[in-house]
Amino acid sequence: MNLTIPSSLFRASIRGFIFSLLFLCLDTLASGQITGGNLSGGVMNNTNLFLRDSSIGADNTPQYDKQLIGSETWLNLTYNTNTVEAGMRFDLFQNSNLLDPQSSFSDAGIGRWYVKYHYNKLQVSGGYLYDQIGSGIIFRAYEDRTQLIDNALYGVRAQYEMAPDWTIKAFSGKQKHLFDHYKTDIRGANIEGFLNFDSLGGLSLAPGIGFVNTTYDNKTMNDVVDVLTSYRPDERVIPQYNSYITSLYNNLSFGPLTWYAEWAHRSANVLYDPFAKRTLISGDQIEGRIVKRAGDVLYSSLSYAIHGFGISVDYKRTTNFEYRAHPLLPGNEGFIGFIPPMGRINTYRLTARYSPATQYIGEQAVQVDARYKLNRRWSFNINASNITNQNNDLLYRELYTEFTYKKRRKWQILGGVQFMDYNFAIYRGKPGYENVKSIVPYTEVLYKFSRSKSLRVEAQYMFTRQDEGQWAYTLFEVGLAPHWLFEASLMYNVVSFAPKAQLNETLQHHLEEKGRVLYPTLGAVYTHGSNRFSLRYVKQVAGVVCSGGICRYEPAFSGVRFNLTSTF
Amino acid sequence: MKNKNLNTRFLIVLVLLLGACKEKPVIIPDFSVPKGDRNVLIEEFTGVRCVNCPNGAKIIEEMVAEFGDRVVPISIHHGFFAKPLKQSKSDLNCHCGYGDAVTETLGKGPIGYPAAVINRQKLGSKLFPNKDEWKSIVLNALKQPAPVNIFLKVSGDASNSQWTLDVNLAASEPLDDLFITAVLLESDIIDAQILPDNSLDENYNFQHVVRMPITDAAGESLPALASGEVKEMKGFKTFALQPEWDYKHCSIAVFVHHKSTGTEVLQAASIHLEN
Repeated sequence: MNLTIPSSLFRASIRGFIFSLLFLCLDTLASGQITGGNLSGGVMNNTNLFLRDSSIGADNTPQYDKQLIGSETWLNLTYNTNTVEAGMRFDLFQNSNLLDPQSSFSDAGIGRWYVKYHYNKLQVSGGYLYDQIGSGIIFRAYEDRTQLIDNALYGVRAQYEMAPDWTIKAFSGKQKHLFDHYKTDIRGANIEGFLNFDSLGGLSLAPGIGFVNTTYDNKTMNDVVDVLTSYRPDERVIPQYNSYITSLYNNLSFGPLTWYAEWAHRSANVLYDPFAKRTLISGDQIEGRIVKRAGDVLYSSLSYAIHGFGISVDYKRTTNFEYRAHPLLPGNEGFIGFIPPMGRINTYRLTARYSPATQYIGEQAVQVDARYKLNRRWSFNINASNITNQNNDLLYRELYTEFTYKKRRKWQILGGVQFMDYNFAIYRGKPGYENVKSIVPYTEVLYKFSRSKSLRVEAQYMFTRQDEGQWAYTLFEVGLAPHWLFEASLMYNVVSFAPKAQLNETLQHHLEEKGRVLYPTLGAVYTHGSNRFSLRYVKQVAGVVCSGGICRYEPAFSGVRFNLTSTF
Repeated sequence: MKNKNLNTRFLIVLVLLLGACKEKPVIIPDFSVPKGDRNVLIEEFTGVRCVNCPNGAKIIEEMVAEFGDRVVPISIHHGFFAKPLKQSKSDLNCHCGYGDAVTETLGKGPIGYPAAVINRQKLGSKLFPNKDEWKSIVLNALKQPAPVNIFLKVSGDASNSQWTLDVNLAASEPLDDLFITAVLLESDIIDAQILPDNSLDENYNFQHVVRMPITDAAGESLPALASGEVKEMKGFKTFALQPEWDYKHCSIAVFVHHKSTGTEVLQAASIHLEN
């Protein structure tokens, strides 16, 4: 007898339960039966008006062709007392391109609900939970709305304070996927604590050990077996239902020195290696195959700060550490752990144009960041990173320099140069393409006319001979505190100043296909209390958008963007 | 001391117990072509600018080699990746609306290329599964019983390029909401294609390229069929080839599908013009 509950019915019953619970809480609160309770929440809305512009490739999606308007809305409500916390979130997607930038997604429902109970040293929670172990390498359930990542654990968690500064935690559940969940079981536990050694000059340690076990369901295993059946016998591997992942981590503090180190190991099981060769019966070889390997991550972050000077050195080595709720999920779907990115998180438009996505099959990275504050006015920053793969091929190299000069409270100038080498073939999945090498000088000036009026100007230029050639960017932002902010920016694809005949084939082809294109943006932001409204007319070039090392391709955008963020 | 000994023994037992937890090995069955009369339609979205599409094409040709006529592939050159290269001799995008009709029927288009939809159904993990899943999905689809069988006959005159397609349908169960689509394909087209290593092959061999739909691109309605009923459609369609198409390399893919109650392809078949 099949006892599967249709997901629509399941969602409807959960919706009913949550609204009932919320109503009960509100009613009880209103009638004064529970005192000290606090109701809070927030709402976030993005609405886009799509205006077709074939010259920049903003076309051929359902939104540009017929729907015209797409939006996403998240509404949070949280109720908490001394011992109980309950929350829910209503998600609404209408013709949204957030899930798939080249398609349209519409759905609505309870995106999250949870209940948490805290009594003495014990805390138990159930529902859709966000949490992580250590830095998140072996387990991280989190939300990132810019890329519609929401892999909350749908399950239960218990946390107990065994001793002062020592906690043990255990959880079990399944990973959320939109308004449903993947069927793979995920269980985990960790112990972490804090040790203080005053007699050793204030040395402190925060050690931890974590453990995760995942178990594929029958459907997932059948999907994997079906694919393996079609492989040649010598290329088949034997998948296992269970994977075991462990991590040991510690944070050491000693005066100005801080050192975080984590080592994680994953037992051998199947994963999809997009670079592994597969032989067809014809003898031809193609790339991409299911393999079976164990995996490791070693991550360390050492920092030292004293008297206006700070330096940090980060190191990461990753080997076959991809594990998901289903081995055949594409892109950024279904990751159970999160491996920290190693490239600098750049914020300026052109310095952030080429960002290194985390590589799960093989990566070795070093990053050094040094900051020096000379005096009240002058400060300097230099950052260098180098990322290679398991074959020691260069994936990414960056040298970033920055100076800041502040003149009292009147104006501030910031500037520097970025030097970058980016493996376009690996990161963009386009074998044979040469690396993008660029030099980007940039500057930002902030001038305060008065306490309430300010002007901020940015200017950047990218020198490069690869991909789409050279770019120029400028931004003007006028602030009228406390409420208003007006901005205008221009991004121009210069390509090159050299005659067309002198350009390499890539740039010649780009000039013929697209030409030199201008991408303007005009907008206003209004802030009042905890409410923020923004309205922008935007023309944006196609590119890869990254958030925390997780990257995806986004096509060009042309239209109007409205955004509302409010908390209460 | 006693507690320490007990703790040590407990840990040893725990380690031994965990070490004894071994899974029963999963068995990977041997590959074999399922017996039956069900054929499977594969509609592949591709393009000359798509560097990874040749890999998808190799997987399809492997299936054609292993499954023979039981697989009916259609290559749809569509969208940005199908824009002709400077070195292209012709435009392989038929601009006949077939690609749009497929994405409209499915309600969405593929995210990246190569992409293929099998029997116009969400099989495996998604509507456009990973290319590594194509063969396993086709294998499972081949095991399904065929609710209807398609018999094709084509006759024509190569000298004046006029052709006639006859179609007979034999239902093995009651069927309604029936539609039929027929598409003219051409293979062995030599033209330029960007390869996975970003080099250009100006003599790449394209197979099963859509030249034109012979029926309406979205399909044409059929009356309901009773179980055991045979519907003869002599002279179902007449059509003409463009002068630049070589009839010796042309074939017709015909498939019967639902439309209002779903998108499932119930049966597919193909026939070469030269036969």
